[in-house]
Amino acid sequence: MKLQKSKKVGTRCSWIPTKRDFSAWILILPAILCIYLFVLRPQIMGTYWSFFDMRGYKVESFVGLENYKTVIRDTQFFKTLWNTCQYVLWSLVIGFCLPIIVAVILNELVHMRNTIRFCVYFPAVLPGVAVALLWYLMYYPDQGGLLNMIGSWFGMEPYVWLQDARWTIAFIVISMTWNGCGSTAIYYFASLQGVNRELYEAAIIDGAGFFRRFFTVTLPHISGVALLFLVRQIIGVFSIMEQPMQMTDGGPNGASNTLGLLAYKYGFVNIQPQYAMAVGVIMFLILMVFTIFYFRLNKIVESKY
Amino acid sequence: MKKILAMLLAVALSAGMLAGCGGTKETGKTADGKIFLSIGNWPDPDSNPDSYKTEMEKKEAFEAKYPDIHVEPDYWAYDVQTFAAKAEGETLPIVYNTFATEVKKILELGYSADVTEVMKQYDYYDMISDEIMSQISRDGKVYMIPSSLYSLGLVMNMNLFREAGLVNADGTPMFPETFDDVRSMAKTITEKTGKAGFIFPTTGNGGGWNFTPLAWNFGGTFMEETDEGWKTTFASEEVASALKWLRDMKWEDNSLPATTLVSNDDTSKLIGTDQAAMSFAHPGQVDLLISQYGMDFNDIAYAKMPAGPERHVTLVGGGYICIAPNATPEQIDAAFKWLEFNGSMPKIELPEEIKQSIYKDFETKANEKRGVIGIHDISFWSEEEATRKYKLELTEQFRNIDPVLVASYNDKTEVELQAEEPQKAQDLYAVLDSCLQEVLTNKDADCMQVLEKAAADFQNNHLNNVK
Repeated sequence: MKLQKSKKVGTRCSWIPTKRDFSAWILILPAILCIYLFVLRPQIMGTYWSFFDMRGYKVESFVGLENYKTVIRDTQFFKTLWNTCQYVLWSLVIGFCLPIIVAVILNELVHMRNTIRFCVYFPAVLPGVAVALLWYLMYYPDQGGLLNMIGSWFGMEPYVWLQDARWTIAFIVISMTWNGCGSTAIYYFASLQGVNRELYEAAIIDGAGFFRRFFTVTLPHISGVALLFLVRQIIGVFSIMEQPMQMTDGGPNGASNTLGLLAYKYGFVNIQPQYAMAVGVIMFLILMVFTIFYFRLNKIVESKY
Repeated sequence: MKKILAMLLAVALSAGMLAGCGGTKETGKTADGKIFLSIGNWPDPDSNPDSYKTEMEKKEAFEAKYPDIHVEPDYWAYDVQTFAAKAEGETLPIVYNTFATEVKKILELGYSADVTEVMKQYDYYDMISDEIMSQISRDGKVYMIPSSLYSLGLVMNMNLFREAGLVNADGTPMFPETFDDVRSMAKTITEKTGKAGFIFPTTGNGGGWNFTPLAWNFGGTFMEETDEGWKTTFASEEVASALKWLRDMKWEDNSLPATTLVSNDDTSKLIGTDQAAMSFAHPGQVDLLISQYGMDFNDIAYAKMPAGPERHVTLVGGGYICIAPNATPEQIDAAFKWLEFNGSMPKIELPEEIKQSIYKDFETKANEKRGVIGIHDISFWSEEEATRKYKLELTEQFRNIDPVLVASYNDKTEVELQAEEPQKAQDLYAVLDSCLQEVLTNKDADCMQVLEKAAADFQNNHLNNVK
């Protein structure tokens, strides 16, 4: 007898709410609305409107790729794109390894663990704008700046810090790292807490020193998390805006300008949202590549743990 | 029970969010049928209690005179970042104030109501000078009401001038007459006090805004209209010499502060805290030195723009009043009634109630020490009007600064007045900000090369897009 593929009892389209799911749907409704209103809708509409000419925030007429052409033809665009990439590169050089090192130190600490943990995490609770202002004053280019004041104790001449166009981005990234390092270090620290202590003990019995233990036990364990943070950092730093806005306004002479700041100026200073949205879409496309990569990695990492 | 509560909470949250998404469109009337008139820039009761009290009294008197109008205080003051969103969301106050640098943008975007007919009806139309009319109108229609007109001057910190010995025998300030004077005085101040003799902004478009009049004085121009459209003209020897003047003050005289990336607001802060001696400033910035940085009236002097090697010219700026674009004709009429009552409109004959209103404003400003009273602005209405004459009388009556300290600024007879550049002014300022930053942070920068690159950028990125 030919078995007929029969409808299974209880089979249904999973997205249609049933009476049983009703309370769950009600509970997630605020979150769905939030995501729709503040994430999905702006992204979709922003992409759609980037193909239109606008007068203020009024949509005027379809212009195809004209807004993209205007943005890319702007002589500052590629310089700003390269600046943004430099932020990412500097953040990897300065900011990627530091949280791992901090987490390992926290993990190895015997005394004053809580105090030091608090000190490490403290900068992370400060708002970004306050941190930018704090570091702006530390980098202040005359004797009043904290760093120059410290330098003067050792007979150093005042240095211009953020006004040195060659290093402005690196200095801004240092302030960002100070702000963000603590929270990332806590993730690594949590991951390190999961390492079986017996592995360390076995390694010690085998005569492994600190570095050997780090490379053979610790690093393999946190490599998955580290990969995820690598991609997250690239995505996060690529859309940086507040720090250069607060500390240098993109200067000197555009040396610290970023795509995020460029979009902000198009959108809010010049009231040309069509160009801001075109820059946003370009950033989105570049970040999309990293995001796909991130999801792939995430899958691999999840399968590991 | 818990589940029901959680569900109710979720529904309430969702409903709250949806309610927030909506918005009541202004019908122009309140629930009891009165004309709704929201007024922006309303003083904050906590930080300016006297002004708040004065305005509330004014509101009461106005509502008593016009019982069909309801005045609604709105604390929003013009802000570049929130303006367009508020305009688009139709949440602007019916009457709001703006600055000269924003006028073109507002006209282009249509965020101000057409007030031509009401202006004619109230007999103000013919009283506006032609030059101002050209700025606030488009295609023969008027979209704004001028509220103040000023010229850019040079503010001086007298504490540092006295410390450097740059005062006359009777203690009065030595006003710099030329840019050479400014340079030599700045150098002396830095040498004798260790503080910056001069400060020039370079960020937030403030640098470019200040640099245009500086370059005009050196004979420079920025753009011209040709048969092929608008062309930049600022890659010139004249503009380069203005830039070089600043560069030399930075790198040869060391009379500019170590920090270069400063905004217009930062310049006020540095002057107000005795860290710098001179900067270009409009009267509003001089007021800030008193209200925000607590300077004494005797420690400030205000000079006219010094003369350059080629011209003696300064930039004209001002404040404007706009009516929200979504205002109904009744609201526009009510707004004019308010402005008239408030003393913002010119009058041939000034009724007693308006006199009282203007008097109160002066009295409150004097009591609150909100700024300098004694600086003369420029008239934009025809000379015979009584409002300006009365305001000048009150300026003398409530004067809180020694006339000698502002004598130079108030005497503008030799100074030519010029409005800002005609096309893409804000974009020009941003480009010039970059030039200033380059020259003032890089000792080896070549002024001419910097300007040539900036001019090419400005032509390509902005002037070529002028329709």
